[in-house]
Amino acid sequence: MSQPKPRSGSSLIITILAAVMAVVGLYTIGIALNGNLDPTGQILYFSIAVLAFAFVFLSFTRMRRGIRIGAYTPVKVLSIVKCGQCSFKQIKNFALGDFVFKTLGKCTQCNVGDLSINGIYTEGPPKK
Amino acid sequence: MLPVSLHENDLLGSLFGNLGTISQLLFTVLFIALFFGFGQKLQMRQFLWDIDKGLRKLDMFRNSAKDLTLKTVKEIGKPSTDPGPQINVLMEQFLISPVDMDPAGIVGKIDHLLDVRDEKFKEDVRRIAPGADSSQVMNLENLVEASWALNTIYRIIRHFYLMGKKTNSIFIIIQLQALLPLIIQEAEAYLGAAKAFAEGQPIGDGIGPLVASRLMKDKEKRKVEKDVVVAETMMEDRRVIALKAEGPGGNVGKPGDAIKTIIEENVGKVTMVVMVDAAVKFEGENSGEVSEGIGAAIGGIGTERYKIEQEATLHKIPVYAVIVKESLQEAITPMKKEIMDAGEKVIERIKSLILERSKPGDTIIVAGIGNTIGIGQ
Repeated sequence: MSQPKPRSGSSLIITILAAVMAVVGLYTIGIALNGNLDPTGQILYFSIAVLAFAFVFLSFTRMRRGIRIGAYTPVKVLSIVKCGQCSFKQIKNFALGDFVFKTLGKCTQCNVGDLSINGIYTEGPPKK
Repeated sequence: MLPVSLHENDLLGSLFGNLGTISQLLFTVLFIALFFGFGQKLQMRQFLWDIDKGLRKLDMFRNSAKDLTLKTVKEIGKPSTDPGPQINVLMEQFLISPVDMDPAGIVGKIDHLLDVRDEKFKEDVRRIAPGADSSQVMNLENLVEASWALNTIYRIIRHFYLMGKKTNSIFIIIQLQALLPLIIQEAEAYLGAAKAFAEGQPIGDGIGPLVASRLMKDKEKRKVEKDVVVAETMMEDRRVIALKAEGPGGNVGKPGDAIKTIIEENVGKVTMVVMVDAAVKFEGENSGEVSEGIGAAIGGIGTERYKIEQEATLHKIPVYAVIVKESLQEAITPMKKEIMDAGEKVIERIKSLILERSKPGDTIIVAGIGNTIGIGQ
């Protein structure tokens, strides 16, 4: 593809900014709490700390959303093998070439009925 | 008021303490400039970052699907030359829908176009994968289609992203940013579908064919119309003609044509048609729930539904629908257990529908609609 690709690196800048803001927030809250300031000064430093932490919080939630929508989890697929005559039932991992109602040969338990795949399913990824 | 009386060793005080009201004025101007003047710009930049991140994800998805397609074609198809360039050509394929200024006869035109497209696609896949059997060709065709869908999604989103950037239009950017989580979810489902198609695993949409195949198990089957198999069975003293797309290759067949043929073969005998299909659930509903209704339960562009509705109206045959609820993602990814288990409930529902709505000796068509990948008969 010769078309321009979207620019990358924005999330790194945000992460660095968030880290800087966290340091600024901690530093200013430290100054505000040390007790040497008058009330106006304390309010000013608290405001800066609140703004810095708000930025960190928002960046964090944005990053979390990005991770949530992007994570693809491969699923485990299983095949149910059943005998047409006896009660034999086996659940095995799906193998390439398996399909529903595929005959797999004689039943090893009763030696009479044919084994066939009765169903193929996935339990799916665990609910978040 | 700004802190004019700040302590000597205070950082901000030493910076702004002497400036007094000038710094206060500067802060106010800066605040107004940032939040009123550049607020929208800042927000747009933030949205662009989001879209940029999403776009990179979409690019990753389409590359994964393309790699998987190449790998599967090489493994199954055993091509003598590199299939990459031919797959790239397939990825950019398109369909021009017919003119609808004069809509009379448009269904036939669309049907014809879809037939040509299907045939061409199948032929192209067969050519790039000469070692694949007919069932594998169907699966590969589905796999290429999933990759095509991911490629198309990426191209469209990139188009609007670059256009939004170029024109600086916040309205394009906002819409794109709002829709992106849904689009990414859909793309993720297509990636899951590609993996299922590569391995020939049944997908959620296959619940209709699964029910039909359970009805036609151990019965004599015959092929009618394009890729549709039919078998007769007895249920509650009624003659049931079950039909589904021919499996286990990924295929939906042409159930509209098949139902038309069966009705014409049994003129005056068919008393009802029951269609079984997967249907998109609303958020909050449980997957695998079974519901019934009236009408032709079949998705797609509408040509098959049109044929069934036409034939049913012509012969005054009632059409009933039994659906299994699932999300769009579940419909195209490997079949979940709760959806597979719904198959038995569907058969019970068909039995009660038949008992309520027909008499012993009647002929009933049960059509299992959907993609039959991984489901034999």
